[in-house]
Amino acid sequence: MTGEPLLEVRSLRTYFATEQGDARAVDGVSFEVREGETLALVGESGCGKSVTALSILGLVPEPPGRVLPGSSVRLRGEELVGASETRLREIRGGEIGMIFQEPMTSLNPVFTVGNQVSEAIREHQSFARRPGESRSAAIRRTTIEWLGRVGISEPELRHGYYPHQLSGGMRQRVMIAMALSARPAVLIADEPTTALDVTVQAQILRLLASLQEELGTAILLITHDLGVVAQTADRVLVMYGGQIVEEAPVAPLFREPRHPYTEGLLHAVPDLYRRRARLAEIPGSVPHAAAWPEGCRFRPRCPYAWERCFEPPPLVAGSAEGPARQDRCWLEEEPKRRAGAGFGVAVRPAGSP
Amino acid sequence: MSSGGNVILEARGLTRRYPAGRQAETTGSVRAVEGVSLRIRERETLALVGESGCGKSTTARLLLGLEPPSAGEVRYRGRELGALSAAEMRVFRRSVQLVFQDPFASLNPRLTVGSMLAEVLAVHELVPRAKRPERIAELLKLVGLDADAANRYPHEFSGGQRQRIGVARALAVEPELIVADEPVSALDVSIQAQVLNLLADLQARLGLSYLFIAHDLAVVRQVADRVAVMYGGRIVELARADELFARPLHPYTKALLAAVPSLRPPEARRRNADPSLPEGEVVDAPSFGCPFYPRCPSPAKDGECVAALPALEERRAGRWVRCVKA
Repeated sequence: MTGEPLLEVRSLRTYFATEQGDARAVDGVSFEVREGETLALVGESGCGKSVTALSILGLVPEPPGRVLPGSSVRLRGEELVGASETRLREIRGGEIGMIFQEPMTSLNPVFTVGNQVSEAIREHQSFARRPGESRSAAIRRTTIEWLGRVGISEPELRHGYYPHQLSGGMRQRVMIAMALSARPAVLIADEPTTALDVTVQAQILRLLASLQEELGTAILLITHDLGVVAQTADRVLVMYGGQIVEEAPVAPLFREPRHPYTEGLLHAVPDLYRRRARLAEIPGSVPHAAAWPEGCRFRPRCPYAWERCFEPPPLVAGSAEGPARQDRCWLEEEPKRRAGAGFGVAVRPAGSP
Repeated sequence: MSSGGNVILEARGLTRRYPAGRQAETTGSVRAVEGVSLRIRERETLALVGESGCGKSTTARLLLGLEPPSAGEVRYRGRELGALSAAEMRVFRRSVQLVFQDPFASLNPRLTVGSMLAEVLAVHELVPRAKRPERIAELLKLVGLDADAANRYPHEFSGGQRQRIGVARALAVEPELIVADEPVSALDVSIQAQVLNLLADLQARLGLSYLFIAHDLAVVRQVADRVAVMYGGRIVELARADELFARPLHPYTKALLAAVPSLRPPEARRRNADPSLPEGEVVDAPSFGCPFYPRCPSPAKDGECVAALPALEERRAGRWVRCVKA
């Protein structure tokens, strides 16, 4: 679970030109994905989590986007920022697999699902011929094996189905087959279950976990759903304002969040097992990426904020827990300020003076 | 308050069937509603939950009178909708308001929020023209927006603010009941909390009732007094929220609850092997027997589940379940 770094992202900056100036969507993000682990990248709309994924894959549309000089993405030491499109094409769907929220938009509606899985298998040479077996027969057999492996019943029959003939959950299974058949070292899963019903989500998460165990694939899971994070991740990165604001192993993060934004999220989300008298509110909303607040980007929404927060806080290791935990908050230096403030405290009802 | 209050709106054996068309064939979606009976009382929140295609939104449309039922009836304050006079119908249209997932999807982008609210007030002749600006300011304050929001256009607002405006529009006509169809499912967690708190505050202040339609069970836990769980167009369980979440009776309710990822990380990474999780996905409900039977992890051995549709039985006061084994 805590193997060697496979994928290292260093000082990643991805900006987009807008009428209001540069939107600093990803603004100095560093992390690593290790062998076999599930690393969750969690945050709300506009925090930069999906742009981080696109940047890793070399899929940022340029213009209006650009990955700034000094950014680095290394896969087993090989630099991907500035790599040739040919090489990136090889890596995408090869060493780095991808699945997205809506498989319908990633699948081609005019080809059968068998055809599309076969194509992935052919392109990445991820099949082995048995004695006397033709190349195309081997590809077809491998395709059907994969369809079965991801839980598609009657795979020989479904091989000939078009995407629209399958349910959302089945289409996501097809995407998983396409992504994992190439035996990627890392799977980037961007909100893979967000469009699915909750019972289907549970099935897909279970499937991903069991394939991960079998194949040893590392997963970079991008999600807004804290429950999904709690149940699937080994480590968590919390993003806000284009930056990582907290990094921690999953259990400590949920037990004792250190960054005020993480704390706010955990108090704001309804809990199936405990009705809260009142949900905590994080006041206001996420600012535009072309106009991040000065200093700490969470400052205008933070119940602890004081003068020092006009200076940007660094991402530092929490005092007691060593380098596995980091957060970007001046409270690490002035912990006494936590007392008596925070998101557990009652808030004023809306509409009252 | 789950009982005792007067009934505002009631469904009796509400049914909506669509002719089996090409869409039903290819997507296998279950759009019909079959024999739904429920009551929404004063000052309560009744949640209608279920997954895509379970019939919850169709039930809402039938309750609002936006679609005619194929069978059964809707009663407002004890009178069938079809029997209401034109004047009474206007009262019904005003008393029961709808809040959408994205209220602005259906709004004129060229109208300021103030003009939009003024239009609503004018249509229902509730407030004399001279008093309207005052009432608009009051409504905006009620939903936690500044008075200057009246001069701005829909696109100038964030998702959470738009939902506040949607609520203000519903409140403008002083309704008794708000039907909220997935009102927070498009919102980020931090904004979702703001809107859920707002709805709770408004209920306390104005004595509103809500029919809250949602797929997110944690959200339902937070807001509901009573919960109706739908599957395959039918109610399979109906109970007080605390009872339903503490001790679900129907296997589908159990499956839904088991499928929600908990906010407590497991000790070690474990395979999610909960036996109550169903296999497969929502399929067309079979034409006889229990609608959940094809996916049920624990059906009766003697074929009772397929023999006939189980009745929705009241096991204890206010505790209904449609299952021969529960």
